[in-house]
Amino acid sequence: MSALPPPFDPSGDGDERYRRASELDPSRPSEATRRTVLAHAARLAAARGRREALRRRLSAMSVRLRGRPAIMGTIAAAVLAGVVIAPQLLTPTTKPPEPTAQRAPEERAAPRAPLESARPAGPPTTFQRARVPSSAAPAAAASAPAPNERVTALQLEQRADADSARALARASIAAASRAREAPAPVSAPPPALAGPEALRAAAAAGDLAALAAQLAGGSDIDARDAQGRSALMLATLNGQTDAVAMLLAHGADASGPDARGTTPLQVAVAADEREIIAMLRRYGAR
Amino acid sequence: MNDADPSDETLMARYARGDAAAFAALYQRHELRVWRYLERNVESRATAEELMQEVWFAVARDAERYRPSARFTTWLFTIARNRMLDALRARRPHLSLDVLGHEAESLVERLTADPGTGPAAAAEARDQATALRLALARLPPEQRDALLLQLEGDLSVEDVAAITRASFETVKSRLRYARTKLRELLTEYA
Repeated sequence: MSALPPPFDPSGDGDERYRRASELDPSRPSEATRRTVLAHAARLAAARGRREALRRRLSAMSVRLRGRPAIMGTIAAAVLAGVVIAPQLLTPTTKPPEPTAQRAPEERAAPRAPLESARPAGPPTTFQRARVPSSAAPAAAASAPAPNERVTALQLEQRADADSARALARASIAAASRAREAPAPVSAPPPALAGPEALRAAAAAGDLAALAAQLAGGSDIDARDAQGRSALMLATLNGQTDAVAMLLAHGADASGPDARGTTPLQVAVAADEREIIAMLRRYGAR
Repeated sequence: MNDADPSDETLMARYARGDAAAFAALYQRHELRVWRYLERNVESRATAEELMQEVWFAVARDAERYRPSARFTTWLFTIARNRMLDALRARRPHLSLDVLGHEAESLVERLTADPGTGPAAAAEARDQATALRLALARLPPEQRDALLLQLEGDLSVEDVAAITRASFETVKSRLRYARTKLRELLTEYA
């Protein structure tokens, strides 16, 4: 090879011979490669198409709503009304899930719920008083408010802490469970849970092993408690994502409302449980 | 360019908005050029198939980020070259484009060892396609890469320089040597 490059000839005979020979080359990518590439591209295009359509709809909606404060006010009112749903779901049931004597030490050692730990120190709220360990059951029972007072207190707390709907829903269920334990005599063995009650308790606690056992045992998956709450509703209230998934996979009614007409999806939306919202919607929840 | 024959950039914009047919049109338009660039560089059909998928997956995935500030083909062949080098480095770290030279040499040895497809047979059969493959395999890797980018990608010297991160003069020199050598080899094998 010489030190000086040969003259530049971009359109010379070499290129023409290259192109002629290239056209005679039968080598092609396989049909499988072509199909794989195009199928992948089509899937991405479909996803983009959906996003684009949604963006257009939202854009059109914002144009329609612009300058219509009455409609915006209605939407805001509907959102506020949704936030009030959670406390109405929280009245206690009648039977304790576990023996009181066994739960007391665990509860004393248990970390505080996120809602409570986020609050500033001060006098205990009505809601916190309901969490008194069951070893102090007589005093707690004496000072425990009536159910209606408890609901009112919860609503007042919620207004004071408007962004805590999710934590409130979870903590309230736990509080209701503990409040159920308070009046129970320490010496009397609690009745063992069975059937749908055990199913609901497992769902609320997120105990997947127990839940699977109940489902395998043929418990009625959509059976309701006194407030009309199904296992799915209780799992949703407690933010038990895996339990929700298991129940839906086993055919739980995704839209079944409680006695007040509230559906699991409404609860999940109020508590901003996004994974649960997505799952419920996949199963056609309304 | 009329509506019946939209530009690459227009097709990319359509695909980014969810038009799968636009991608299919782009693929159809550039499939062979990308394939030839890859296969003639790596000289392995299996590797070229893998790279072909990776390149077009990348085009599909990054369609929304593509901005037509440069020609689509420049972008496309930049992806193709980068994927090719990544794949070679993944298989054999610390190797560069030089590895293509080794693979190409092995192809030459393979073809020349086979009396049915060797240079003599190619010459006798006037098999121009085989002769071309052999000729390309004899080129130094950087020269072959630059030549294939220009001929298959229909890219300017400036574009090839940008893609290969070499200077304009270096690329121009590589292209001159490549063309001269290719012409000689095609004559020899013809």
